[in-house]
Amino acid sequence: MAVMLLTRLGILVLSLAAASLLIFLVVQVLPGDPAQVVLGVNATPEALAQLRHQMGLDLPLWQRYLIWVGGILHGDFGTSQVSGAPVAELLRQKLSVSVPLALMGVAVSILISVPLGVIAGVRYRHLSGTVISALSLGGIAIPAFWAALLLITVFAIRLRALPAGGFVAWSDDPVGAFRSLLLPAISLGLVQGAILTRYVRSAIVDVLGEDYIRTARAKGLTRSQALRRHGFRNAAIPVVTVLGVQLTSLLVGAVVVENVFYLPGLGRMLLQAIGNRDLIVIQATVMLLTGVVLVVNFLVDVSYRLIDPRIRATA
Amino acid sequence: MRLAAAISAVLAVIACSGTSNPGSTPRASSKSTIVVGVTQEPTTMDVTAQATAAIAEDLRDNLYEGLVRTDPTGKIVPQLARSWELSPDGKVYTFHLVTASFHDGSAFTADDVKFSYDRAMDPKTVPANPHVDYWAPVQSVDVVDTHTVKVTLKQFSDGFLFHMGQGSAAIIPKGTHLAATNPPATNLATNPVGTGPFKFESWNREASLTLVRNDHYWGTRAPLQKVIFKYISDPNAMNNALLAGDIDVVSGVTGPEQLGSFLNNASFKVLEGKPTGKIMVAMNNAAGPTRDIRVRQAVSYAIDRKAFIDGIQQGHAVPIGSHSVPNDSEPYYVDLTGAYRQDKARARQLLTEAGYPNGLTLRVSLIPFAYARRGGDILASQLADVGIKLQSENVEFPLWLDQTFTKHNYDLTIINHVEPRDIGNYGNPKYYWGYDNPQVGQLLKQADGEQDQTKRNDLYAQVERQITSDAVNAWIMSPNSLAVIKSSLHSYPQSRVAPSIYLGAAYFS
Repeated sequence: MAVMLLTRLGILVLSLAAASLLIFLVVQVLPGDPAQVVLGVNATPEALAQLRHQMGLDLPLWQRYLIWVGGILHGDFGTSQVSGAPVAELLRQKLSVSVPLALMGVAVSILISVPLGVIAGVRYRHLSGTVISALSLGGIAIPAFWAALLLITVFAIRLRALPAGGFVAWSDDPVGAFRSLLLPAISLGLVQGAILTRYVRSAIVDVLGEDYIRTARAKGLTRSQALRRHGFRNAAIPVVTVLGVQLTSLLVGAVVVENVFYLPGLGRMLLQAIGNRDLIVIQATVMLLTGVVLVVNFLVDVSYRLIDPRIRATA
Repeated sequence: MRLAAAISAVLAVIACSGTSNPGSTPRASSKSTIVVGVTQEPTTMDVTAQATAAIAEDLRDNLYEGLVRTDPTGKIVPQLARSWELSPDGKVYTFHLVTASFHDGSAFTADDVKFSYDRAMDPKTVPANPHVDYWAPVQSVDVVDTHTVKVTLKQFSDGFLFHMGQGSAAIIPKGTHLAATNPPATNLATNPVGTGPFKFESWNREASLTLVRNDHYWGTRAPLQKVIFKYISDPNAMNNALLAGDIDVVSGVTGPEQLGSFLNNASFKVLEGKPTGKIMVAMNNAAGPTRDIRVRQAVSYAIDRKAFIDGIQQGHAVPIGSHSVPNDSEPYYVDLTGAYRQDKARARQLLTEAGYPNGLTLRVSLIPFAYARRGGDILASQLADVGIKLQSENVEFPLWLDQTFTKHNYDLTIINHVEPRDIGNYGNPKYYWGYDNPQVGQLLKQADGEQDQTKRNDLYAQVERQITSDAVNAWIMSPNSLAVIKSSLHSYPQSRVAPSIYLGAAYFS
């Protein structure tokens, strides 16, 4: 186990280093001059040259890369070239929206998919199982922003039970912050839940056909006892894999829903930074997200071994 | 069956609660916070550092002030200068200043004016003022006494006083930016200080900006206690926010087709103001097929302005035929919309004369604003009718700045020139449309230096006629400013000719 952990950690570090170089190079290829974006259509060439110097854009590429990576290693993500704000502070602010939103979205997704998926799997030859399958297909087809608009119309405009958008800082009003994330999380979770339901269902159907379930039934367990004691743990592996993917994609992929609810999340900041050519902010955000994806993958990998002793043994 | 019954029960509950909508009852008059929905967020809090119009939109006149202010119709009115005189030769402005203090407690004096203007004029300033050309006519700025400042011009300039009412001509406290800070984290960028009726409280990026009333304001204290700008880029989200009561104002309606939910609704008022900005098909006069005046004229003759006005602005715009708009900021406006009325036969004939009897293909670069993208479709169909095939290139704004504006690598582009009194660009042959006519340059210089208003307007009118007859660009329309506010809100600016959304007089009943 320890050797496995160390190799996995080594791969993680190498992947991060490679990612940083790739991200830096790709961002440099973006056409458009950040200084021109800042100074607009009436800027003089002298002013442009001065601002480029001030932004450090006149340094050689390798030097800028080293300065950036060196900063990150010291925990310094740099300063936004456009707004002058420290990037670490910006990321912290956005993460306080995006991380709870992604977690709440995944929670909604689990709450919907696990019970429905198990029922659909257990009763897959019955009407109720078929109905759930059909509903989940419909759910996959619904775009999250459309679900969001419906939820806003019902709960914000008609019922006035929840805000139509915006975000209250956790430090100002924790209940308000939770309320402002509720509708976005539901609209994300509904769609993700529909997807996950199908994975849970097929995992359960597969497990029910396994020999060890038949053996368990043969030694006298009921179907639900067999499922609870032997089935769920085996069914969990594909589901956890999909959950990991969903969690990371919700972190930045929530940008459409962030726009509908005008939430100050990571996705919107990234989009705005690209529009303003705020290179430092783009690099830092993409690097952070890459880091999260790699770490989540690492954790999912480790969790397989906790769920399934056989994988532990072969590693 | 049971499921259907349950769904209809839920719908019934929703419908019932909809009728007892609490937000439709008027609020108490004690409401002292205004929440303004704004599409674009400022990129910094320093109004003197960047060209983004959103900075001045939120902060000028509310937080920062200048010697003069542009009122909502485009006229220049006193602000920190309570009055001024111009010497008979038109070269020396003497400004008499009000007694005021900055939000940091320091007194506002003539020294601050000298500091702010000297700093803006200096090309070595970091960060540079994006509108350093506003100060091009200035010779020197001199302090006469604490409350009097003298600005000497190289020669009279009509544009000078007008530009002092723009965003970046704000007066900032002496010494700002001079501290050795790690660029560009200068203090105004994150902690703005001015003399205005509201002062800075907090800025939560991609979310909101909060200003609070300046209780030591030199003029009439603002009725409102707090101003919150909320940044909502999605037009649907903006409308929902107003309908749900989360905001009080939609400051700029981006899609007039969405006005439907607010017209004939007593809770809201739709404000339609004077036209601002020039939406036009800009053309490359220096290279490519559009270098030929006949091709440019053919494009101008192919265009039916009404289709643009209806298709993009649902009729909420006025047609324009040259580089000027009928509002008070451009008093030299002449109506030249008759110069090129749609005439497809004439357009085809001009193309034949130019050597394109079988038509030609032109590139058009389109930035991601509704007017450009929708305008691109309308333009493509109108030009196709006369044999010009359009090749659309959708670009984001930084790319447009790079390829179209800086490298002049384009044939056509649809753009809204929002800065008032920018006709002077036709005197600059290096400007992106590459129009080089020394006679126009001479007329523009003469016009800016002319003190007599009638003669001056006449000179500008000559420029307008010349650039129209040269078909430098195909001017289309000037959209009317559109806002939706709660009915209980008063003294909100009806027009948006000024660079700012001035809220110093607004109040709720």
